[in-house]
Amino acid sequence: MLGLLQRDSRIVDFLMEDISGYTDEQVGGAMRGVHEQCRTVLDRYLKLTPVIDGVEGTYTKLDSGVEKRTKLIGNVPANGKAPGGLLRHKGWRAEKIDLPKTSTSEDLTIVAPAEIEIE
Amino acid sequence: MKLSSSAVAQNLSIGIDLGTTNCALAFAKVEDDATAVSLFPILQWVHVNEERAENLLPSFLYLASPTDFQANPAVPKAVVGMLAQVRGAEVPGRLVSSAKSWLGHSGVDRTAPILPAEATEGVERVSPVEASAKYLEHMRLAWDKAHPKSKLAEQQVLITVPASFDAVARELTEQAAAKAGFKNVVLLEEPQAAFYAWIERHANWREMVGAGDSILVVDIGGGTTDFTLIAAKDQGGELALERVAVGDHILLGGDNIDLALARTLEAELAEKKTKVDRLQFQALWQQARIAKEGLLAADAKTDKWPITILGKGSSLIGGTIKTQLKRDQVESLLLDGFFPEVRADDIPQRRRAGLIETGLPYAADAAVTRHLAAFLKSANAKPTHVLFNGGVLQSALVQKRILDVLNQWSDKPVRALPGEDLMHAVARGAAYYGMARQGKGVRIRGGVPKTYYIGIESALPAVPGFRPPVKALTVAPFGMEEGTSVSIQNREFALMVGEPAEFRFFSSAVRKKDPAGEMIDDIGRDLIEMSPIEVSLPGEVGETVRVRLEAVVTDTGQLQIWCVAADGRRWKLEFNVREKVA
Repeated sequence: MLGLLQRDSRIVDFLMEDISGYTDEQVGGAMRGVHEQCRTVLDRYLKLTPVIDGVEGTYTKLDSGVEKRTKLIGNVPANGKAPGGLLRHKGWRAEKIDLPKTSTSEDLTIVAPAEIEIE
Repeated sequence: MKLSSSAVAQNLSIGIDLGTTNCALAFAKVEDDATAVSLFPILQWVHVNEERAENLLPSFLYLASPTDFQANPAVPKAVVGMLAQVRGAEVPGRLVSSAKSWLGHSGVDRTAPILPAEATEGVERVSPVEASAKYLEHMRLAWDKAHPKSKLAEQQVLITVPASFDAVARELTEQAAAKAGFKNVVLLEEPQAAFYAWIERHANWREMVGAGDSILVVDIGGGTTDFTLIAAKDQGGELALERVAVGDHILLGGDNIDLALARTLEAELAEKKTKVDRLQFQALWQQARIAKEGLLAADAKTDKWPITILGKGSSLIGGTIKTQLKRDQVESLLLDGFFPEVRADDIPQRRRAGLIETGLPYAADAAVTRHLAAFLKSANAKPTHVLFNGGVLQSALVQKRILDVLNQWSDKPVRALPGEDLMHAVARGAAYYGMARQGKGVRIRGGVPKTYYIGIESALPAVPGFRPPVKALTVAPFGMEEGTSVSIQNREFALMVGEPAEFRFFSSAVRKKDPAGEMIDDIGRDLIEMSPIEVSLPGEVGETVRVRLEAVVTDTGQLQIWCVAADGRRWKLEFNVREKVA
């Protein structure tokens, strides 16, 4: 996944770069493209949908079966269970994972190969 | 190619748009008595470890080196499609592109390995025919994988070619299809295919055009511009369609526009002392295309499109080149450079003679509207409707300009026919036409789009330093229909048996009234010389045979010229595409 993100959006280059010397405008300008391409990668290979498709900040009932996908915070009862609460974060879930197959001859520790141009 | 009229009714018809920069495949089948056309997404390598089905197959062939794609042995050594395009941008010396333009270029031997034109030394080149065959083969294999029970070779396949392709380029396209394992192939002109796609989409099309109307099809793709004129006529109460004129082969398209924008940006950056290297220029070219499409989109909200080329190497922000493309830059380039307002009698600039061409014969004049004016003038036509096709014409701005210009030239209003899905219309229309050939739909009558001539040297005493003047004998008149033949009775040729005889061969898209057998004394600018044609009569050396010429247009629209002896023996003249050494 990291390799895909680097290949299509160069996010690793961005994260590994020392950005302290650049202005917000420079960082923002470069980030716009990176953001768009990261998003394309996520859309293509994982279908991300909210765990609970509700409005954040409103009361939400906890149906049985979703406990494992939710995390209770705040004034949690002693038995660790509650019928519902305020939805603070909708959560994310990959509905499908459709990653390209890797072959055995591939070295998976390589996130991005080095590039050498012959002039 | 054999005369293959599909005697067995097939349940499927497949249309292939074999484009200069992109290919597409559509198929039609009869469902509940109606023809339904769908697009077939083509499975292709998009990265070394990833195959994906996409609606378009980029017409690129990458000839891999022994170290390429080591991560995945399943990737073929001659790879077609998106991976070829992506990897080819990194290693241009192994990338074959625009094979179709080379296929239509009579200045080179199109069956000889000449591509990539600028190949790295040691790379084994391929011929334009082989490259086209690779694209077709890729589509055949992708189809067969998805439809193992109705393999492509068993179906009727319609392959589209530019209307301006001459008889030689058409035969080479058929050769490429045969090489790719296709069996039942019919060629169809792209603007006609676009028109069929329009008919397919509009069941009520007879309410939009009527007898006496003439429809101009303007097709601007990635690499070529093609004009065709279709007349709607009344025939015993039925509306009949006839293709009445086709334009010259113009190597000018969307790629030229994007390249011009990228050059503008490059020059601007150079003023600011920023140099762009080869790989960055490729990125700039891509970005210019995206910016152009974004700015010209109907719902565009901005007048400036940011162009960002990320830094080279692993440093992304340091070294990032930032600039922007403004709407007025794009508009002025399009409206002043490529689609200027011109007068109806303007003539496109011709390339100055004396230059030696090694590459493709790109159009010397970038103004599409000027080419259009010249086309309409030579066709002596005032269209009543216009149908747009091709990626460039997705822009409403360009459509409007062409419509405005047409209206300025005409005293009657010219109306645009609504087209949709301009990137895939040609493939869809071709699939629809496949059904029309089986009697399920409307057909456009056309015949050969040019008049063809054979050159005959005048019988004059030899004079040193002077080549005898050449006259041209009309062998196939304009509009000669599929499945017909004409025989030239008024002239006989004496051919030596056992050695090849060569004929010079000419065509004209302008002269439309020369009947078969007519002799043209003065070969002017109207006649364009093509590859010579050759015949070799088997038999005892020394014998001469008196023959007459006969032109045949096969059921699939292929022009053939035959030598016929008095005793009924026949020999086909073959196009000799080998480059003529002057």
